[in-house]
Amino acid sequence: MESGTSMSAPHVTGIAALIKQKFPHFTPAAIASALSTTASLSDRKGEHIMAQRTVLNPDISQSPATPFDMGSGFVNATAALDPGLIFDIGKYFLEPPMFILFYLEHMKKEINH
Amino acid sequence: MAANVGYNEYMKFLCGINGSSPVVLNYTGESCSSYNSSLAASDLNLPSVTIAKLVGTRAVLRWVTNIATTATNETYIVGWMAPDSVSVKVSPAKFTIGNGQTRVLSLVFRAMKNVSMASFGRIGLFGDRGHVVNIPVAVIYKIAV
Repeated sequence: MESGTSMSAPHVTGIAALIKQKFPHFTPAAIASALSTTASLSDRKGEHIMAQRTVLNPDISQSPATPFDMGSGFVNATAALDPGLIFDIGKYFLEPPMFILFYLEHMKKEINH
Repeated sequence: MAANVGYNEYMKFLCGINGSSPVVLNYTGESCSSYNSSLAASDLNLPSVTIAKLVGTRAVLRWVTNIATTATNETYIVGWMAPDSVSVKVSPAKFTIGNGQTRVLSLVFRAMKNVSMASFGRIGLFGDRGHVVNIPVAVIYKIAV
């Protein structure tokens, strides 16, 4: 399987939809919580998730991924549908376009500094 | 289900980012000064904890809600792996929670050394009915007091 945001976004979106189907009252924060708290920290071989550190020689520049690389880990659909506990953030949420715009603005500022 | 923080908390979170008020006003039409307080980034009720600068000791609260559909009660044991140069204490370290109930956990972090490189840890909630809840922890600057 390919890696990267473009590959993961549709998978995670699909699993988010399954969670919403099972728990229609879940807020976006509750869905995100279910996805995150149940994520796996190891890959299919049972080994630590690795992060690529350089563009050149990606295979030899890997080291164990930190949460800054991998977030909570690899999504686990079965576990995410039965999370047990959730961390919730109310029933209101930021409209995605606003959130993205805010982030872009913030990042621009960070880069300029 | 408890909705402990909502729109206001997201606004306070955004307003809590240093220098964000003009941007918040631009995109929301709301002024940060109309919110009485701002929220430190670590205090949004996320299933993770990031502390950019840990000076001495810092307590962070997290609310968890039991949404399990099969069981009524579940007893969780809390385990953790502290980030380098940080001590961690979670209380309660063991709790029983009924379906639909919410519990607050207090996570206390203490800087043990002065280190500026990020270090990472983990908090795990292990239920006796098989649920495992994983929370990554990241602490960047550590300043021991």
